[in-house]
Amino acid sequence: MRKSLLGSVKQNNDNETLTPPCQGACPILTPVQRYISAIAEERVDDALAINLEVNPFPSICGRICCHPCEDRCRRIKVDEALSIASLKRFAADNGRVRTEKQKTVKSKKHKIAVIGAGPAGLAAANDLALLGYPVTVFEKMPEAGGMLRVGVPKYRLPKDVIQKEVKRIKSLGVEIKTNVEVGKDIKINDLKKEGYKAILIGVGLALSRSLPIEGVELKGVHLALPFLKAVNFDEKVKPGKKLIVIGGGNVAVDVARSARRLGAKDIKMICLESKDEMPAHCWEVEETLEEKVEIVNSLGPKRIIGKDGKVSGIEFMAVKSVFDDFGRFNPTFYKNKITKFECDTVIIAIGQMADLSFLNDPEIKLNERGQLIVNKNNFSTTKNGVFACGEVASGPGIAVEAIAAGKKTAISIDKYLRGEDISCLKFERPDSISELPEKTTELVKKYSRQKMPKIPIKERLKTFSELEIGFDKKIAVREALRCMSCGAGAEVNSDKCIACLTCVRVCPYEVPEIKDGFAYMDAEECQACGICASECPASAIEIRHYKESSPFCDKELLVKGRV
Amino acid sequence: MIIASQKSVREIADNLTKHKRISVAGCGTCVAVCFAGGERESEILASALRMFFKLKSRKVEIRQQTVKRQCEWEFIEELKENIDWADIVVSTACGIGVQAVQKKYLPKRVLPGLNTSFMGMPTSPGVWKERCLGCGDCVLDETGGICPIARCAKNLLNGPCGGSQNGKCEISKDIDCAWQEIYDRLKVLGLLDSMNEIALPKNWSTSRDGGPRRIVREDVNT
Repeated sequence: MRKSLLGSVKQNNDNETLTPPCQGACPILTPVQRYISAIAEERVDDALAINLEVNPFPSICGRICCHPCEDRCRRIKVDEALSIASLKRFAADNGRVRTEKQKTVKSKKHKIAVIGAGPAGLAAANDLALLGYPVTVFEKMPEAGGMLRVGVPKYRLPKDVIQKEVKRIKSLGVEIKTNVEVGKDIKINDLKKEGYKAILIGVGLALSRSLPIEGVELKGVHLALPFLKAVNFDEKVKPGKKLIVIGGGNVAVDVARSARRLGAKDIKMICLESKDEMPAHCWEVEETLEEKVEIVNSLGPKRIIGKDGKVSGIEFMAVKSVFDDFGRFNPTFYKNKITKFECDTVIIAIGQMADLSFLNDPEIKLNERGQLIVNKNNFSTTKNGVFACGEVASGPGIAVEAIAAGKKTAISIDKYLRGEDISCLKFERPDSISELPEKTTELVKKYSRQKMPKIPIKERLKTFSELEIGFDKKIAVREALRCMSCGAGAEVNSDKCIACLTCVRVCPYEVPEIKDGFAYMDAEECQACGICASECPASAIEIRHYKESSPFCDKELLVKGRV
Repeated sequence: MIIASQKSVREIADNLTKHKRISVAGCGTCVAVCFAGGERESEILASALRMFFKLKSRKVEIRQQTVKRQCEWEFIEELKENIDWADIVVSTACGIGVQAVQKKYLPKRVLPGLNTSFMGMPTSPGVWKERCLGCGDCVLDETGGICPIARCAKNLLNGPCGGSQNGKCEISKDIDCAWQEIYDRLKVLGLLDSMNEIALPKNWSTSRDGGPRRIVREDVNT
């Protein structure tokens, strides 16, 4: 069995963790550095294998992850963050899966039911299958993928990409029953009777929130998720000519951009938040503007105006503030400052909520706001043997957080089924190494981030084909070489060090110093370039990054041409 | 520190005509610091020999091991297994190490992998210069801390000679005239007057002229 379902972290000789910030920021602790360096060495299959060790969805995350890793990349101080997500996509698209490593045996008897084939449910199913459990996933939609399939437009995440990853999970022996709605086709209580020893609820937030305003019942007013679902399942959708999308988040962006591709001419995305407060990712907002969607900020919907039962316009009030003094969402308005827009369609994309109507079990308790009560540490609900994770348990979040929750829940369920006490279970997050020191920042060579090639703007609007083309090998390798290998640099073996000062003299980053009579390299400063290791006459320096396959140990490489 | 440089791979290999198992023994002190025979350089030598014999289509096994110092019996004890295994040993220690290993592991043959050159120090990365000849009667107190014995081509005690041209020695434009340097140094030290004193002939019996030397510290000698 594998050692860890979540990425493991490195320690130095003094047992301090040297987690690079990218890995530390990833909810599943993906060993980013390892796969980036594999790409740099053109070991693309290895890069994919490293990803698959911790993440069953590298192709998906490589496309739609909002990459908290990149926000923490220490290269930001030098020039720009590494394009980590795009490199993951490159590995996933171009690497070949080593099937022998992914095979598993159903060694355990206890059957597990997972409700919902979204990222949380499937991640849990994947890991439980790797742990040897027979897992069945119940999905009410005709295809697996959850919100990834229903809510994420195909130009960001093509259907076949989801199918490829789902297929891989199925190949582990996970059974996915689609078109089966728990609560309707099978009752949740019947699952226990059918022998499922643990049940995981991973149904996400499947309902769009509506607005408590006049006119929402009019023809031409839609909710975001049914709209996106119809588009994603190739149903005939007519978004009208003049469309108003209410909302400033990523779903609103997806709606507006999908409508654009369906032929809507005049699209306005109108939200409460100012430009800086918008919850949508900045790069998504940028692309939306490129696609000539108008974004109107700081307006709150007042009423939708109808004519003959159909939408004809909408009125907004100017926003005074969106958040209160405690930073909570609590919008206030100038009630008399009204702006009116004409339109024939309104799509409301102001948030999602869970559909828990299938839970007709008094033992599975909800809180006063109608949300599932879930233990944040072990993901158990109030009913023994029933677990919940992902957005249904923790509220709106990003896909990789749902994957992380699914993986942690798998560990929790495994412990539960083995009779262990899970009440004290806790998943610790490692500390990452701190910021790049100022002195080193100045010495690191600048090397700009590779741009993701996209299909041209003119073609983009006619098609749901994938917008981002992906890195080719040349671009990927070039980008991977930008990685500074934070915390994975030189380490001195003081038994071998002869204090010859060679490292001190050759280091381009002025890192080595003599401490207690031996060379010492500060892990925070070292750039893992390897020059000291290759020059050290006593072979006393190892680069942590290359401990397994050190190019600096290849002495034949060094003597080429000397014989 | 003892400074040495590695012999050419060909010169070393020419002495390994019939041997099938070769042990390369590195030394981790002086010759490691001067990039001649430490762990890295002896590993490189071992690799170079492997490639050399491969190109000659000769099947030769080569092992490599580096010890802390080859000039101490205790340290070279660690080489035993690899030396017992080998037909012949190439030591990348200075001449002292080679002699010690040869004596300890008789009748196995031990060959030198380096040319041991002088006592000196690095003056810039990759450059080592001679600083001491080990004459046994130090005169640095009289010459501003610059040794005329090691650094003057003629070992002159009263220099410079007529071969000193623009601060360089007549034997090479790359060699500084030690006596020019002494003059400049004494000036800095405010001791230029001492240039007027004639140094008396040196007692060379403490140097090599008195035969092989030894030092005995009675209080340490047990």
